[in-house]
Amino acid sequence: MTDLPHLRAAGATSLQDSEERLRLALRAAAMGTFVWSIEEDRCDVGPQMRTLLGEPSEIATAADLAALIHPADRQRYADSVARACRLDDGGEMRADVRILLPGGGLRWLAITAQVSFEGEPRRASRMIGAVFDITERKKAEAVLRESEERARVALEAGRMGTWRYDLNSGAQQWDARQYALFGLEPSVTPDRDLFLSLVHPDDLELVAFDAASLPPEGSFLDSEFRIVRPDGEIRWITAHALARYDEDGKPFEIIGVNWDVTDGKRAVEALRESEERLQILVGELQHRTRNLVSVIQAVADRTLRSSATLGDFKSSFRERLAALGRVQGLLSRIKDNERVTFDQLLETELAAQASREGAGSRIAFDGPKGVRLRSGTVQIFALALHELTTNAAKYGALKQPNGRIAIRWRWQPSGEGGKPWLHVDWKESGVAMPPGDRAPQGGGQGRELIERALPYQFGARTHFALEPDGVHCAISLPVSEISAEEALNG
Amino acid sequence: MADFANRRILIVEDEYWLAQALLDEFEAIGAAVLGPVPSVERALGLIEREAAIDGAVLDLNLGGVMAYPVADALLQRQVPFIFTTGYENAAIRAKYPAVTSFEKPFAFSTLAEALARALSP
Repeated sequence: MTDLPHLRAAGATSLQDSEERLRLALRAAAMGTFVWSIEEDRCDVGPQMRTLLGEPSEIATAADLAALIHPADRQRYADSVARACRLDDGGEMRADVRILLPGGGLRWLAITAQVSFEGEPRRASRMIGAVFDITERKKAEAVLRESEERARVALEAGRMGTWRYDLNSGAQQWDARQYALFGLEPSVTPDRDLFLSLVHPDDLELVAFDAASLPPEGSFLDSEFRIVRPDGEIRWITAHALARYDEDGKPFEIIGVNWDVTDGKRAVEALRESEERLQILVGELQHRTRNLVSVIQAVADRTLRSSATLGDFKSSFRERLAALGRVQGLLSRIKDNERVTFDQLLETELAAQASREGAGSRIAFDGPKGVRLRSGTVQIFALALHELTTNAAKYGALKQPNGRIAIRWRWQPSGEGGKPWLHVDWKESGVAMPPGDRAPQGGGQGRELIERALPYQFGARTHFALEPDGVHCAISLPVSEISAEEALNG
Repeated sequence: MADFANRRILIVEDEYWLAQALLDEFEAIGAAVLGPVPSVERALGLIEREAAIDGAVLDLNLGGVMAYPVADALLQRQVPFIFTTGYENAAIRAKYPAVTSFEKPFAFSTLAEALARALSP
């Protein structure tokens, strides 16, 4: 028994020690404690808890404590207290609440408490609780939620699908939009093989990667490739992905986003095609222009040779340039794969003369529309028609009161060489011809064009004769092969 | 102006007026002109028939057909010639690096001098 005081002293010391250690632990954890004696409604709040509550003036009852809680959280708090006090619920309570600090501001506290039951019948007698400050955690959660929200908005705005690829298990997770991008139902379980089966065979190497040479942490893996959706539709996909590494520096997963860039790709492709077409057109234009220059040079030479005075030269040359100008107008209006037709050419050339002479009614036309001429022949052919018309207007059927012109043409689907041919017959009548076989003035260039240039350049068969009542000219030449059906239908 | 007296010059050109102009010009400086002919087919026929050809002017594009077979036939016979083209053509320089090309329109005197140099290296 002599030992008793000593023992008691040791016991007291050990109790003091353990209380001290508890206090230290509570302080270190920023944790407060309270005891609520339910029957007397007496609240006993520890000093650490008082600090957490912002040093309120007095907390004697449960109502005093509840008054410090943010109004929006009070009902929830009251409900969890009531639940903990029910006999059959084990007496445990947890609640995160906001405290209105007396000095202003808010603090989030997590409350964990245990109710004990006593007496007969048993009833809730006491609640012992611990509270700790979770304000920082709540702030971090809010920041995270906001950043997740922003990311979600961005993903939705960009129509982006997200995915995760576990490098160890090979498992993948796709979100709803990712499924939609690939045209799959969300019930399908995604994996690398499924993904590869949807990639266009020609683009497989664009999505291949080697786990050993993934980009380092923080760098992105970008790729662009085509997929073939289950319904057969081909889409262009851009992928932006990130490899993640464990503490040993070993990659364990790749996370990424995909989005559809098909529309942009198609626009670029269309632009490129249109640029190519433009290049071809520019080349063609250059060719045509140089060709035209050499034609003008020749027309100038020939006109100069056949003109007695510069005045003659001026008027003939101008008319011939005008005829060339009209043909350029025709050529520039037609689109790719189209051709100038013979009736267009005839109308363009004759309308200029016929309206001026008021002689439209003296010309008879007879032939099919839509006979398409070879592009290369249009210029020279137009000049030949111009010469025939000009001569008729100056000396022949359009000049003389009783003159008539009958222009007949016919399209032969398979002429010489198995190619389609056009046969034109220009017959003037009612014309008083000059004596002997003297040709009408100015006929030289027209005859050279018809009798020599057309046969030389286009393999045409031509015939030109001054008959007793006017000029008779026949021109047969190969025409565009793409004219076959259209000419028949036209 | 270069002297082409009694030189036998082949003209291959599908445009009538250009062919006529070349014919007139070459005759004016004393050349005996073979042709002019407007197509690959007729040019090859003429090359086969003619025993002596001293030089040639060859239009690259003959009614939409490239004149390569004619160029090759001339090269095989070692006949010096000059290309005339309607447009800048890089392919032709790669294919026939030793052959001079003239873009249309060109001054005849320059073409004649270039051909004269090719005739008497």
